[in-house]
Amino acid sequence: MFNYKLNGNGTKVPHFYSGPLVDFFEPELEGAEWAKDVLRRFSPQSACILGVGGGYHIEALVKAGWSKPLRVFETSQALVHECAERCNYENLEIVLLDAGTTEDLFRIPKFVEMLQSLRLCLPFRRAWTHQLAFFSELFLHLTLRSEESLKVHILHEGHSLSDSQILNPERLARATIHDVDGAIEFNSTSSNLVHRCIMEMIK
Amino acid sequence: MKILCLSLLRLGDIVQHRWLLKGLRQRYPSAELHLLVHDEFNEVAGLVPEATKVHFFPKTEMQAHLNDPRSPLLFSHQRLTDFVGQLNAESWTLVYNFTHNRQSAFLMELIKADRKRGLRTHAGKMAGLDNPWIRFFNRHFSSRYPIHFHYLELLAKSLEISLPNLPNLSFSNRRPVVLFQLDSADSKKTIEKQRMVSVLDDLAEKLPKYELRVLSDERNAEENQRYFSSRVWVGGLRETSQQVQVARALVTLDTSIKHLACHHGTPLLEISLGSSDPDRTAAWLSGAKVISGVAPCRPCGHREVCSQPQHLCSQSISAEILARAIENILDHREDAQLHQVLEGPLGLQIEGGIQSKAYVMFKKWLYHCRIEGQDLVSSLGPQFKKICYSFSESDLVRLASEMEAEYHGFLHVHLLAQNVSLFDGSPAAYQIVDAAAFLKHLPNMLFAPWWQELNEKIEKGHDWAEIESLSDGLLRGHLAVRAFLSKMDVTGGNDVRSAREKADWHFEAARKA
Repeated sequence: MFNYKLNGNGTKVPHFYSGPLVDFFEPELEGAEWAKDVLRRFSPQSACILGVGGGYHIEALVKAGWSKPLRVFETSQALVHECAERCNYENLEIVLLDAGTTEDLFRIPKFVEMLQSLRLCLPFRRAWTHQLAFFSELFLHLTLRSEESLKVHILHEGHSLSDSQILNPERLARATIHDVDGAIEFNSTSSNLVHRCIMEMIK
Repeated sequence: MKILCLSLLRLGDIVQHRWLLKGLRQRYPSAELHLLVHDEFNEVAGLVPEATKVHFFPKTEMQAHLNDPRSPLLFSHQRLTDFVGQLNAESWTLVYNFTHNRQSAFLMELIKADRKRGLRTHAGKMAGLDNPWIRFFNRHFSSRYPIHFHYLELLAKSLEISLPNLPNLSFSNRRPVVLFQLDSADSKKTIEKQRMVSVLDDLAEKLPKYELRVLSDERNAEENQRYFSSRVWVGGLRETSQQVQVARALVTLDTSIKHLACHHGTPLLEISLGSSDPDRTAAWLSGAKVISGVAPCRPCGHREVCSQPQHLCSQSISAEILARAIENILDHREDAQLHQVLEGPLGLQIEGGIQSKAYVMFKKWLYHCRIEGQDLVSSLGPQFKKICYSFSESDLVRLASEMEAEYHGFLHVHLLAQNVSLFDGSPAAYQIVDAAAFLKHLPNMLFAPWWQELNEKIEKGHDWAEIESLSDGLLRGHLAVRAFLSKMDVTGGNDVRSAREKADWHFEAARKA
């Protein structure tokens, strides 16, 4: 059951039963550090965040200078509502996932469409406490490390699988661009050149 | 007209590529010149005024994702596809590849343009090797053997860009400050800082009117302050460039700061160690000096660690010699005793003249003969009656007459190049380059202390294995020379190569043993 508790600073901290979904004592600082790490490492055209928590990390990311579209996935209506109130950011879209399992998500056209144009998935793991298994699976889908999501993605791009061994779940969860080499047949010369260009970077 | 230039190497290369941009600017005064560099060099944007716009290849970002399981598996693929799409949104008239590696070749094919110059792929296969210069560059530049062309010169010829005239030293508006750049990302190229402390102390006493500053970035500041205390100056690339612009002189290792100084005409002394090869990458500045470490393994491979138990090339430069060389730079004085101080750059400027590298090289060789008091005529014998060399005809005539006057028939310069339009990629031209390579390294090899003993053993017919053990693994080059001499035919380019291969093979065998 969701509820909110106030910490010593008077900050509202969301809880699932007795477990906090963000750092109880310093949720803003935790959010700021997470945002700092994201901005140091990534600068894609768009990103999705898994887990709303208290919305502190999303607020921190925007405050730290994120100006690209953000899509946030959450399973709890209450948390979505709270986040929407906290984060006033025009490029923010909060998606409430009410599917029973992650496999059901593949029947939602918007989800499939989103997978096809996927850029970056940013996990905020502490906020997964109330749906740990669901978010973990969803994360694999959103990083193309599940059979379903990889198939959706490469079929949409017009590529094909030349080595289905890559679909082994354990291997896929740890896969790197090296594993893609030879496992995916790219649809065009330009896609193949892009791939070869990347392979040169990791030689 | 929009021109894009790919410069996807390190900072020093980007700074050197400015000369190519200057050449392009002269040729296309009204064109938009765009430069593409790696995103880790974002400081470069303000240091390349020739470029209308600098684009940043998202290398750092993609590399962060490549092996990170938190990132979508095909993130880098999509990111690069997006980036190429952004580049192709511009309408490029002409694209130059200054980079000459496989990655940039693939990128060249992805970029849409009316015309392309430099290494590129076509339908995934290497292409663009369409003139003899670029073929030579492709084949020889990364080898560890001397090639006798400066990197810029070779690249400009490969891409059919006219370089601006070699810049001269500029002495106006300079402050009495001598800068020292003693950090390099490559430890093979560095000199022991403890030794430099005494050099600086010595100089401070002798040159009280000059302020000595040791340049440092934030990363190395603590270490530098430990050695040089208050002499350390800490700043970023832009601030360093401003310092270099007004300094009286710069003493530097083979670093990007050296190349930066060339654009300001700052008098400089390069300390060339490890894999640094003044032939290829000396400062592109007339009057710049190089003090070169001497060791049989010099220059070593760019990607290798130092193979010697001690840093031989660094130790070969004494503190006294270095201090004197620095004083000479400040006094603008030549010192005949400093035979380690070479002129730079030593590019074989094809148009020749007394500035040409071949001329300087011959003079240098003769200089060695004089200062070491060796009688090379008698030690080498008749095999040197015939030496092939590449020159324009008028240069050959002048050079031959000078040498004849000085050495009475010792060097008979053979006009092998008569039918070779300088370097045209023909076998004869390769032979010329090889012969030049041999000549350049001869003095160091002959005057090495172990040469005499080694020579005697070889003369007595000892086998290779014994000779290798005697020479303690320092055979590279010596064996090449010995094998070369045994052939007695300096015109045989193929012989040179086979001799080198043999030397390499023996050297590797000795190392493994």
